[in-house]
Amino acid sequence: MEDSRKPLNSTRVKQDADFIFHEFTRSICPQCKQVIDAQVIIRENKVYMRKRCPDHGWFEGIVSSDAKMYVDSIGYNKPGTIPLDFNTQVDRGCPLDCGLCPEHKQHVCLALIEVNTGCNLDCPICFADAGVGYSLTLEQVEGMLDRYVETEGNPEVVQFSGGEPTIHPELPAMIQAAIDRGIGQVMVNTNGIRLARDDRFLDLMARLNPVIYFQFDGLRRETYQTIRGEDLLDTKLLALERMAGAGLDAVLVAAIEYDVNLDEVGAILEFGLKHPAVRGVVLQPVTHVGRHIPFDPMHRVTIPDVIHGIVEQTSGRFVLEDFVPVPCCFPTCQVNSYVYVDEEQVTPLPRLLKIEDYLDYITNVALPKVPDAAQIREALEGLWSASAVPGSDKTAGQFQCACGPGLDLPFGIDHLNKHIFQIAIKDFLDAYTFNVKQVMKCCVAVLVPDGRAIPFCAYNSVGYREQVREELTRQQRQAHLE
Amino acid sequence: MNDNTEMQAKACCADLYQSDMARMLLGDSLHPGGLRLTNRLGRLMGLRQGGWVADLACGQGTSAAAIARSFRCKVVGIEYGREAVEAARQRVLDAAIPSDSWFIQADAEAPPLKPESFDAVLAECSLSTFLSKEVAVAQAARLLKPGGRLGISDVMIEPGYLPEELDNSLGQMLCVTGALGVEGYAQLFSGAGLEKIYREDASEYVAELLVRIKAGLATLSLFAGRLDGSEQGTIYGELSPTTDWIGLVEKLEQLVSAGHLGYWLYIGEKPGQFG
Repeated sequence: MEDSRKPLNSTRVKQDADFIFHEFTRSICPQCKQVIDAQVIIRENKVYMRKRCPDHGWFEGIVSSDAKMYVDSIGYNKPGTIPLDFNTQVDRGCPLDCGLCPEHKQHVCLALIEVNTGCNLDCPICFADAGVGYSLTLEQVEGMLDRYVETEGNPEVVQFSGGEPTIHPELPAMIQAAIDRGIGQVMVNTNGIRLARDDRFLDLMARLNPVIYFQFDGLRRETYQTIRGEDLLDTKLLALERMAGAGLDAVLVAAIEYDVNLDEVGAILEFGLKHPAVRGVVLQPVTHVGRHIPFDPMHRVTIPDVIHGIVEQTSGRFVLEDFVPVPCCFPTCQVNSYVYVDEEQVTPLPRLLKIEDYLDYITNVALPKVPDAAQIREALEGLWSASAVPGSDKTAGQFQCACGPGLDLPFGIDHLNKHIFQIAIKDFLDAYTFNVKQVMKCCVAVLVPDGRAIPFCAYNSVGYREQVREELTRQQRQAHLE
Repeated sequence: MNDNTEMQAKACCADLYQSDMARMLLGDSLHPGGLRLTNRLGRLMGLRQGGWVADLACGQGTSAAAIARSFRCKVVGIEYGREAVEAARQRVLDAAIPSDSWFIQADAEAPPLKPESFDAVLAECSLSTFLSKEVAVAQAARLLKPGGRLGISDVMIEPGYLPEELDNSLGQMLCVTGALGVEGYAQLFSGAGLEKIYREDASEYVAELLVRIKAGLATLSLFAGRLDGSEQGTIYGELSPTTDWIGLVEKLEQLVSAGHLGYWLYIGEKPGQFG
């Protein structure tokens, strides 16, 4: 036992903490998922979340590897839009009353419908933990779409996901049902295997023409081995070639992990910029929910790591300032950039006008004194939004409006559709970084058959996914027995 | 006879809708509310699986096919424009998901369909373009089975509120030139013997459309200075680039918020019990 009495001759000097206390918020315990208090701190220009569960002790995880970028982004927070109706009441407090409850701070920009849990792959990394479970009926999906239209009035985007949605026999009818209800843009989130192999399915998709949200993790075979459990590179390239042939627009979606493909972000972007089927890339640091490989919460990829990766790996084509936070969700969740691509020439939109003059709502209360500033802000808000879908007429129109003063663009919307390229970097929350403040303004929601729209990160981290899956699987088994 | 004039008017309207300008200003959805409002009409008309529906002035059949699929009913579309009818038929053949919809080239004001054989008749943003609205509504009512419903959505403008700058093709594109007031449509319905007339204000969809048009016009004005005359011609069409079009749209927005201009839904039921 150590003697706790210190020698009397030691000097008493107050020490500074080695961190800046940035904010106090609420989070969840990574082990038992109960809601607990949390602190966000800044140490050596990095942002961390620190919290204590009364049952499981202290936890700490990195939130952002660039504190300046994190803090600067906060001004890009725009007022939320209130949905027409809510599906739940405030009862236990955020995040246990989802979705959406009247205390939520934003409507749904992008709705996900996970049509099944089954998949034709068995990846070591899968936030949805795909496998045995349920498969929604067309009637269930129609009901969910109807409720989405009721609560949103003019729903912007619906994305069909899973599981693997392309193996659901009714997916084409579900896409058509979304189109028939006037939903602005329909997307299909897929690994592309069926598009690569099934001519009839490819033809059906070409006729329905959804934007394909295409999992594409890199250009190295080992990347697929690690993330997907098998070498899918040739299948991926074939699928893209066939999409280009069928006239389908694709967005490359890469899950980014340290020591796997963080050094490939530049190559993915350059590949996308050149490929005729590709209208954008979405780079997502791997979310450590569902199935994932072992990870260290203090050493995970965050948004600044991806931005720095792009800048360093594209030989001067991009600079840090080309990436601007997205105001519709909490602005620390996503950054976007847009480029106008013409042959070898790549012009990022943020070089043409100062985006911060329009989208930094807190620093710049007044709009710039230029003609039509309000319309330019509106167009930029459309582009810097979770509902912006590359390849859509709407996005092309907004680009046209936003970049008007600086770039002499041809007029045709069709031309712009093929020449505007979106780059999005999106960091989802896991149990270590879960911040109620961000979830309260989340604008990406998972629709469930009972009508709820549950914010995506709450769905994945708090336990909603498990509850919904268990209930739907039970219902389906029951229906089967009757 | 007015056939020719009307056909020309409709053809002119169709050309306008297909122009780059219309597409840029109006976006994909040419009517306020698009298919969202079509579905709302379908629900208000109580469409059911297997029911028969006629869609008057159906254009290229987008709504007809959507309704046939969403409500699992059978839809006959009537359209004056021969090319539109062919396009509608081709779209059914090309569709990924089949729909029970058929298209006939005919005058929607005198549809060659069997009387008392439809559960519902639909006319979206088309009554305002008909020359004789009374005849058109009487004809639509004739098609309905007893208990069947006529559902329309259309531009509403209170008499005397049409701005003179809109007495042209832009006004036509916005469907305001032949529109009636709120009571005008209701009177048409009751004049044709329809009962249980229900009306619903959907003017927020016009407001939404006007915001979009304003953003589009702002873009045009940003570019206008850079264009040579010929390009200006193709973009502005017969619109004068010197007119304050944004100001005009703002005037329309004021009319909408004052309730003088809007977009309304009407449902009426044919008396009698079917069966």
